[in-house]
Amino acid sequence: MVVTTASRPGTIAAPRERTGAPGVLLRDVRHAFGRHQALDGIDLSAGTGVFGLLGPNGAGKTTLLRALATVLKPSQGSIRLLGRDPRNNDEMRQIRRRLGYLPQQFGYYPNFTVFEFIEYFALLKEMPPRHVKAAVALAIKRVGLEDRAKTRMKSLSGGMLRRVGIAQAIVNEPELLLLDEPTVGLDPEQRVLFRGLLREMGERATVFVSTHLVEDVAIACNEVAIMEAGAIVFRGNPVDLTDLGAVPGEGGGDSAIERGYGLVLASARKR
Amino acid sequence: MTTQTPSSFDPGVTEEEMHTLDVNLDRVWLGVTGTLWSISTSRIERVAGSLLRSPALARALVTTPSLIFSWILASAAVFILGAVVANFTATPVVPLLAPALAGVAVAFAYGAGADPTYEISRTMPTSARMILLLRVSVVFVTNAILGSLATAIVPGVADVTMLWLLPMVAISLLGLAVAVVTHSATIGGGASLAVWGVIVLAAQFRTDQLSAAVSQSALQSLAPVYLLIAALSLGVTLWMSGDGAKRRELAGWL
Repeated sequence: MVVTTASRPGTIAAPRERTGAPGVLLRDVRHAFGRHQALDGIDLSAGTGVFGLLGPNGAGKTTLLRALATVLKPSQGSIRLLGRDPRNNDEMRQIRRRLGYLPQQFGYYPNFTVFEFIEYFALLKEMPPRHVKAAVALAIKRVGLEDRAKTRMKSLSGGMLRRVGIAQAIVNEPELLLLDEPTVGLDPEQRVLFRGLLREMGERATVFVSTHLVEDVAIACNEVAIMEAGAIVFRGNPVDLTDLGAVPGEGGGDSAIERGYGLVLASARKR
Repeated sequence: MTTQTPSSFDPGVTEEEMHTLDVNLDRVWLGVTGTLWSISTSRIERVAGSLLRSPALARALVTTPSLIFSWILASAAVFILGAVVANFTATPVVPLLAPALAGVAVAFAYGAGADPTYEISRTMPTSARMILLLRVSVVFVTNAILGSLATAIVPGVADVTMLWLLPMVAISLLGLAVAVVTHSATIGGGASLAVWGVIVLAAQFRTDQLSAAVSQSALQSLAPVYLLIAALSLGVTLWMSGDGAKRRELAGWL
C-alpha cells in the first residue's frame, strides 16, 4: 500500500511505501559493555503508537534506543525495524530514511541557524530536495520555534535546543521515531505541547520515548515498559501501571502511576 | 436584490474540497516560509551537488564545521613539510608518510570527539564514513590543484609535493569508488591502503629502495596509470551515485 503522507493536513514528506510489518521486533537482544550487561535478553514487538520506556539510570533504556536507532549493533539476538533487517546494508539505508532519532546527548553546530541545522539533517536523510524547505518549515512550526528559525543555535536556551533536536527528528515524517529524554529542559507549557505532538506522531508511526517523567508516560503513551538491569520487567499500558499503584503508601511516589512504577522496580530487584 | 445567508451560501465546492483547499494553502504557506527562512545554496554547493548527484553529500562537504579546521590543518601540515623537505633535506620518507598524515588528520577530525552531531549522523542513510571518504578525496584533489599552481611559482616545492599528491588523488578516488560499490567505507579505505601498499612494495622490490614509489622516475612512468585509475574511479562513483534510469543510459552510452 502506498501512503501519500502529503495528503494529510500539514505534512510534507514524499510518498513512500509502508510495509505493514511491526515497527519494532526484537528477539533475545543482548549487549554488554565489558562486564556490564546493558541489554539482557530483550524480546519486544511494537507497532504504531507511543511506547514509553521507564527505568532508573543505567537500566538500559539508552542502549536499547541506540540499538533501535542502528547506532549500536547488539552482540546477540535479532532486530527487525519497519519489517527490514538492519544487518543488510540496503535495508538499513531504507530504515534510516524512515527513522527519526533524538539522542540523550544532543550535539549541534553553534554557528548554524535553526533552519540550516534541520535542513542539513533533512538532506542527510535523503529527503527529496524539492520537499526539504517546506518540511523544515513545518518541523519548526510543530515545535513552536517559528520566531527563532533564523537564529543561530549558539543563541538558543537549553529547552529551545531540545526542541530543535525534536524538529530534526520529525522533519522526515519518520515511521520509527526514537526520543531519548526529549522533555529535559522544556518548560511546563512546552511539555504539554510536546505531549500533543507525541500523540499526533503516534497515530501513524512507532514512537519510542525514554523518560524519567512518569507523568509524561501516563498522559502521552499507549504502552509502557519498565527496564531494570538490562531487562524489561513490566509491559502494559499506563492504566495497568496506575492500577498497580492504586493503594496509597505502597511503592512510594505521589501519584498512583509513580507508586506502580516503584512497586514494579521493587519487585524486580527482589528476584 | 437577494442576499445569501451563511446557511444558504453555496461555495461551489464540497466540504472535502474545501478541506483540500485548506491543505494546499497550508502547504503554500510552508513553502513560502521555508524559502524565506533558508539561505540560498552557494554556487560551490550547487556544482558539488550536480557532480555528486547528491544534495546531502554536497551539503555535508561544504558546510560541516568540523571539516574546515581539519582541512586547513592537513593542507598546512602537508605543504609545510613539503617545503621543509625541499629546502633542507632530501629525505624521501616524508613524501611517503605525508599522505597518511593528511588522511589521519582528516579522519581524526571526524568522530564523536570532533563532530558534535556524530551520534545523530550515525543514523543517517547518507553514511558518515562515506562523507569522510569524500572529504579525504576532496582534500587531496584540492591539494593537487594547489600543488600544480605552486609549480609555476616554486618549482622545487612543487616537485616534492606532486610526487605523492598525484598517487593520492588516484588512490583516494579509488577508495571512494570501492566504498560506493560495496556500500562499505571500511572496504573502500582498506582498498586504498592495500593498493598504495602494493605500489610502494612493488617499487621497492624493483629498485631495493623504499622511496622508489615517490621518485621522479616512478611518477613519470606511473602517471598515466594514476590518471586512468582516477578517471575510472570517478566514473564508477558518478555512475553508482545516479539513479537506475541514468545508470542504464550511461551503460548504453558506454
